[in-house]
Amino acid sequence: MTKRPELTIGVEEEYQVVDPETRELQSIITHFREQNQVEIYGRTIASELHQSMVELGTKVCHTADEILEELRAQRKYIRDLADSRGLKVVAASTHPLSSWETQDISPYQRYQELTQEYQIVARRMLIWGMHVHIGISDKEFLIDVMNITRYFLPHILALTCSSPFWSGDTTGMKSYRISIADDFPRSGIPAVFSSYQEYLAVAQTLIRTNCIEDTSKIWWNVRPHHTYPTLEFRISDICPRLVEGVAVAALLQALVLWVWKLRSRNLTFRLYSNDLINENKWRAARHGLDGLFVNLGTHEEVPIRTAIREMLGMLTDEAVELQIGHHMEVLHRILENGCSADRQLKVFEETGDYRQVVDHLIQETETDVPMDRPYPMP
Amino acid sequence: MPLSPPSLQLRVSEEYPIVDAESRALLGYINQFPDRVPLVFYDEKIEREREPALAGIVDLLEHKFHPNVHDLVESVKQQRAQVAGFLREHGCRMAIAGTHPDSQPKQLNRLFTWYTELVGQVDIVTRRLQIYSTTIDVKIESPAVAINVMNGCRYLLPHILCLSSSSPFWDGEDTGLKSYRQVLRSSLQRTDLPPYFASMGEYQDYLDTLVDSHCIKSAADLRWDVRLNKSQTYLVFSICDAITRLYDLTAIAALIQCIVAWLSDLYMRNMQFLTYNRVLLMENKWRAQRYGTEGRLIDFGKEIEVPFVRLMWELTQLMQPYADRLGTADLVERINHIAEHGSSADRQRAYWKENDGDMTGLVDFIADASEEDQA
Repeated sequence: MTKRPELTIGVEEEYQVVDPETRELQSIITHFREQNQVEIYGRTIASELHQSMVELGTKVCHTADEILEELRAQRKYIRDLADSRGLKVVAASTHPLSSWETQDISPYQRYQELTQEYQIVARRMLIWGMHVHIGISDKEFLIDVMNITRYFLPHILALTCSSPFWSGDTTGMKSYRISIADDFPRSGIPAVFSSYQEYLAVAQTLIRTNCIEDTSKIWWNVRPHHTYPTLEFRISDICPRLVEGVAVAALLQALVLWVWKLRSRNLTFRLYSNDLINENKWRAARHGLDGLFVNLGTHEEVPIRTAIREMLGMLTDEAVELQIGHHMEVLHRILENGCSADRQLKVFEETGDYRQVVDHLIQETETDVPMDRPYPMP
Repeated sequence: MPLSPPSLQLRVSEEYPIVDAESRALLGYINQFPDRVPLVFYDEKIEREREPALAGIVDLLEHKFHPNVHDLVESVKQQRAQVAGFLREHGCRMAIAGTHPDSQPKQLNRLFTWYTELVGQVDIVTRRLQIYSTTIDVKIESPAVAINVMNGCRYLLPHILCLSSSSPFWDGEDTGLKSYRQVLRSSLQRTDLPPYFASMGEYQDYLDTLVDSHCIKSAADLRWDVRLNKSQTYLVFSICDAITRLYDLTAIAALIQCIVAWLSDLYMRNMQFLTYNRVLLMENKWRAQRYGTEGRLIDFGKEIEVPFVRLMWELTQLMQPYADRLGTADLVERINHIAEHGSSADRQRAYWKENDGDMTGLVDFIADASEEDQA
C-alpha cells in the first residue's frame, strides 16, 4: 500500500511594494538585498523578476494553523521592513495602476537571462502569486496526485482571483494574472503522466536538448518541486486576506489526503484532457465565482459556487481528520461574499479611482497582521 | 468501402490588414472568420466616410478549393492585385503581417461590438486580438485519415510557423519574438497544438462534451493550429502568421500539401509518424515563436538541436517524391531559400534596424512586399 503522504505545508507569497503617496509600485528589491539572497533578522527575502516584487516563504509546517501563524509573522515582517522605508506592502496578483513598461528588471543574473530568453513575455510578467507546497515523498504517488488535482485547479483559481485590473485598465477578467503567466512556455495545466518515470523522461529530454537547465524552469500550475519533496500548487492568485490564503492551503492539504484515501480503497478520480479542464480554467479566470463550470463527468453546466461546494462536501472527512473545519468556513464565506477581485471591482465601481483600490488592498493585506513590532528594523 | 487517398485540394483564407496610405495607421482588416463569410472590420469613428468603399472589398474575395497549388496561387495573385488596386483607389493599402507593427490595441471598437455579439464578452484577452493569419485548408475526404494526419503533422507545425513568422512588432515595440501573434492567440481557449486523438471516436467524444456543456456550438469554434473542419472533410491549418509575400505563401502551401500527402500515404501503408508528448512539441513551438528561421529546433527522434536551415533541407528531401507527384518540386525547393534568407519577421526587423526604428517606413515596407506579384 502507498504510504500515507507527509502532508506538510509550506507557502511562498509574492508581495508588491508600493509608495503610499503615489500608490505606484516602487523598485525596492535592491534596497532590501545586496546579494542574490539576503537574510534580514532571520528571514530570507528572495527577489523576483521585477524590482518591485519580493518573495518570502514559510518554514515547513504540519498544520494549517501553524501556517496561519507563520504567514502572520511573515507578513508582519515584510510590512515592518517596508514601513521602515516609508513604503507599503500589497498582496494581490496584479497592481491596478502601474505598468510593466515602466518597471525595472532585477539586476541579478537569473532575471537578466530570463528577460533575454523570453523577451516581451518576461517583461510583461508583472504578476504575483501564492505557491503552496504539500509534502509527498513517494514520487509515484505525487504524480498520481498531480494528475488528479488538475481537475480542481480551476476551483482553486476561482476562490483566489485577485487580478481584475492591469495598467489602469479594467480587464474584464477576475484573474488576468493567469493569462499572463500562461504566455510562458512550460506553463498552464500539466500533461497527464502515467508514472514518475514518464515525467522524468520528459524532463530529461528537455534538459538534454537545452530547453531548460533544470526543472525549476517548468512552470506548470501544479508541479513536482525540483528540490523539495513536495507537490507545488502554483494556480492561485495571491489572497490579500491572509486567512483566505491559509484556507486554500488547508484545502489543498485535504485534497491530497482525499486522493490517498481513494487510492487506499483501490479507487481513483477520472482523468480528463487538459483541453477540457482548460474550459473551466478560462471560466474561472474570466468570471471568478460568478460563472458556470462544466461538470466533465455529466457534461452539465453548474454554477461555479455549486461546484466548489460539492468539492468541499467531498472533503468533509478529511477536514475533520486534519482539524481544518474553521479554515473551510473561510472558504464558505468567500463563496457567500465573493473573492478579492469582486471586492476590488466594488471599490472601483464606488470610487472610480484605482488609487482607492490600492488603499483597499493595503488595508486588506494588513488585516490579521499583528501591530506590535518585535523586529528591530535595520 | 476501401479508403481512397485524399484529393489534397487546397484553399487559402487570407486576412488583409488595411492601412491608411498617408498616416499608415491601421484602419481595419478583412477577415473570413468564423463561417467563411468575408467580413471587413474598421473603426467607424475613424473611417465612417470610407465605410461603403471598404465594404465593397468583400465582392473581390474568392474562396474556393483548387485542384493544385499552381491554380491556387494564380487565384490568390489575382485576388491580391484586385484588393490592392481597390484599396489604392480609396487611399488605403494592405500590409499583410501577423501584427500591425504600430497598432494600438484599443482601436477598432467596431470589432469589439461584433465580438460581443458573437461570444457575449469583451475582455482584455479579446481586445488584444488584433492579429492576422493565413489559413490553408487541405481536403482529406476520410475523417479517419484526417485525424491521423492531424496527429502526425503536429510535429511539423512549429517548422511551418518559422517559415511564416511575420509579427515581431506590437504596439510600436520590438517584442524580441518572431511571432508575437502566437502569444496573443494562445490566450484564448482551444488554441495551440491540438491534443492527440487515438481515433475519430475519441475526437467525437471530446467534441460532444464541449457542445453538450455549451463551451462551443460546433467544431468551427475550435481554434487549434490545425483542426478538422465542421463537416470533417478537410484540415484547417491556422498555424501561419499572415504571410506577407506571395512567394512565401506559394512555398508554404506546397509544403503543407506535401506533408498531408506524405502522412496520408503512411496511413494507407499501415504506418504513422511517431507520437510525441505535447509538452515536447510545445518546446519547438516556443522556439519557433522566439527565434523563427534563425533558431534551432529539436529533432526529438535523435534528441538533438538542429539548425532550422538543416531541418528544412532534410524535410524538403523527404517531401521530394510527393512534390514531384504533385508537380510542386520547384515550389517546395523555395522552402530552403526562405530558411536561409529568413521570413517576413526577419526582413521587417532588418529594415527597422537599418532605418533607425522607422515604423512609418516599416508599414510601407510590409505593404510593398504584400503587393509583390512574384508567385
